Amino acid sequence: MRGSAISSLFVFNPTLKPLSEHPTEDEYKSCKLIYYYPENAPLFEQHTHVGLAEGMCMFVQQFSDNPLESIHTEKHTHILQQCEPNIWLCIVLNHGDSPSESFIRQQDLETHPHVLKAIVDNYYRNFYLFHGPLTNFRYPEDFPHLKNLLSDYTKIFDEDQPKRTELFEGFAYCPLDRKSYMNVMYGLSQISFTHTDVLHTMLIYDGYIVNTSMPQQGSLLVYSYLARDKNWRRLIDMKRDLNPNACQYGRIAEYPKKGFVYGKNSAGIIVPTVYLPDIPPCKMLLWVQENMQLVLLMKNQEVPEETIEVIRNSLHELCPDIIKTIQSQYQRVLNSEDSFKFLYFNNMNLAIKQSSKLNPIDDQLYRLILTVSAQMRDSTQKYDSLVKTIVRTNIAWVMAVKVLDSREIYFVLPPSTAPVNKVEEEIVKFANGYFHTIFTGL
Amino acid sequence: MEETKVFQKKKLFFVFTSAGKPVWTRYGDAIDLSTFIGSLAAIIFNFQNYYTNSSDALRYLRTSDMLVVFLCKEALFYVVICKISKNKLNQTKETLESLHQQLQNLHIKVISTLTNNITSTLQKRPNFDARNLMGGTHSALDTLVRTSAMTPHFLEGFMPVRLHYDLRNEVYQAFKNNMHEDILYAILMTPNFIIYRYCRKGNSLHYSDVSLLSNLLASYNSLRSASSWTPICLPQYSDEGFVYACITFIANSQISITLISENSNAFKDLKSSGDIIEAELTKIKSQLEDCIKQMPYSVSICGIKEVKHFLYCSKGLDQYTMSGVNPSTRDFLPEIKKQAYKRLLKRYDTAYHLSIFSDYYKGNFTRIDIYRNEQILCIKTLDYTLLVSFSPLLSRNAVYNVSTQLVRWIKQEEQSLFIVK
Repeated sequence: MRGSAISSLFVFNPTLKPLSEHPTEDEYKSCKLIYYYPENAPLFEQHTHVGLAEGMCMFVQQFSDNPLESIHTEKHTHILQQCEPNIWLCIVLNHGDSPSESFIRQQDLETHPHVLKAIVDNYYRNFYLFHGPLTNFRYPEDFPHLKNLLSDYTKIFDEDQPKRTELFEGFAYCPLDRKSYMNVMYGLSQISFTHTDVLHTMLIYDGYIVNTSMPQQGSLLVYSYLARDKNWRRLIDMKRDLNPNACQYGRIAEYPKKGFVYGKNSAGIIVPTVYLPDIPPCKMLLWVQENMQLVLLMKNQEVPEETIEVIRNSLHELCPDIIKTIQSQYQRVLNSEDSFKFLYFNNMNLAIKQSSKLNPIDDQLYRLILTVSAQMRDSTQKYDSLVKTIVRTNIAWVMAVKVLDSREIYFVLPPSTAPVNKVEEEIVKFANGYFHTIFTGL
Repeated sequence: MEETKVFQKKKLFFVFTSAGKPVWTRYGDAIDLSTFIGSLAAIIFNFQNYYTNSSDALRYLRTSDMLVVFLCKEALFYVVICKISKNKLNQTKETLESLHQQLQNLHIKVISTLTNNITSTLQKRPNFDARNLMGGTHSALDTLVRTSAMTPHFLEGFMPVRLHYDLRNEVYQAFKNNMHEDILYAILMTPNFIIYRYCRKGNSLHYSDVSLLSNLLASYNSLRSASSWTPICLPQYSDEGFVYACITFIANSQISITLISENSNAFKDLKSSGDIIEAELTKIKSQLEDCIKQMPYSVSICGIKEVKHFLYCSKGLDQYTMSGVNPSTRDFLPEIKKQAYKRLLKRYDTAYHLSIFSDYYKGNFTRIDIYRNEQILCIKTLDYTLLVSFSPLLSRNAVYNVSTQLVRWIKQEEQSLFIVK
């Protein structure tokens, strides 16, 4: 959520019991709490918050078979989610003090269920990416280490959270025609064919995904970490040192113009183990060259230096052609300006397309689109679903269309006194041309 | 009723003090539920003081199929637990704002019964048991909840009976000629319909106070037996004390003449005025009753076949009008069934939602939502709010033209649809 900082964040397991023979009440409370942020919060407050979260989960069980999702106060939003069996995550967002007489507030335009779920998922998945499931950490011997990892990671997450600007979690696909795409695929297949240790590959160019062989959720995780919203720049700016005992999120030695970010570089051999859904833990190599990022997930748990060097030589040979193929097309598309402001999202393949004119999206428009998107997702009954909306506000005209229950597209025009039918005609004319391969008439 | 049976209900209401003392529950016995209510009070307290040195207020919580909404008013707390369903046809589709409005209406009714002095009483004596003071109001509160759920929460106004201008003018004359100086407000109404209302110069009658009067007449049959003189608190006029209502029913009719005064000794004068007004209105009683029987009116009276349903709120008059449905009696014409109306209310709410924010509305807001089986238009201006349902097959050009036509018709018929004077 834009602009909302984290007030507190905690991870707890209500089933944990203290190990001492005659535990005190405080010990009962403390052992459940795996981690609390901010760490300097008074202990009684930490215990109270965990107890309250547990209590609220039990409270709703009296009325619903579904778990508690969120709690909304005037200044905060509490998000709760069970991320693993018996392990709960609670994130409390702070919206600041903005007195309002109305019950519905501006923050309600952003705290839609799917948005809140994405925040919690984002926290959990990015930790999981480098450290695997929390249940892998044994109680109590591994817990001090887990706490250190979470401490390190949460500080990064807290700094990052208010800066997240994207509306949808998905992939920006690189604009390639079929022939170029096949050429790129050929290059990638050469890599996989030559190096049988390579389990999966992902190719990204300037933040746009070209190809991935990983399952969708794993791809999304790696893509979000490396590329979405140009995240590699954030990773570079973070300048986190190479501490093997700390959380590995964002720890890179260097980001060369050409070479390994994860692999062998001037700092030595750094090949993190990554945990992705539906794939066993594997080692990740990351090769960057010009604007390209090539991710190689390796089958084996160890990647010897010799293997890295052999791969390096292959990439030296293959990547220039791949880059050349992509570059010319990409530049051509990049330099062309879209005549309309639009945003497209496909819920099935998670494709996102945002027009050059609609960048950046200001806060008011962001909230408007988010709310319309949430309203469109609100009903799963076919007869009941909102399929199109045209709204005129004082900041813009927005037309939103949902096609086949999975694709959403938003068109934005400047505010005007034109009648709604004229606005729609103009948009449909553009859309039927630009999106003719996707939609058969709006 | 056992706690488990109570918890199975679709929508539960709880009113209690900040000390956790029950005041009213919709289902079950307040005493049997006192432990549960105590836990609600504790939850509210804990979130108010979630962080040291900072205060906050709980608004709502949700699961995928349930909303719990909280309203905290100094010493009185209101909670609704509502099971919602996106998928099942016969489950409630109520929105957050609608549930909150129902809590607001409950609060207004409680204050109307107890006056706002209850707040200072409870602040001084937190263990004060207010249940006895609320005795006999269960039916009124339950009626209020049912009516509120059917009323568009986002409209600020009441719905008058549709009455030909000449007839309304006769009513107006009858009142105008017999206004004693002690009369603050005068209303011609049935338990479910407002026919006419008068306000003393310099005063206005808030629509929520109008709803309270309707609720009073609808809930207490004893008021119909003879002329009644009853104290009532109208919170929008003053929440600190009572005004006095002289209620006279026209003989053999549901129509009442309600005269309100601040003067507790004015019964005789008000009764006298009421009797004269009754005598004058008896001549047109059957015409008035015919108009009431024709409520709700069909959408076909607007003469625009493309319109399936409309809802129009006049901001200047604090009144709204709607085709096909009377929310207070929960009457539905065959053209719109109850479930379809509930779905329509939710769709109207969706269309209207963004306009409550100043970011998106500065005097002009338009939205068209297209569903697979319906098209909803929302227009909000400084003068009015209009919500219309159309067929999804109608072109946007036609929607635009038809809505213009509809507004024109409403403006022409304003004097019969609304109480203008």
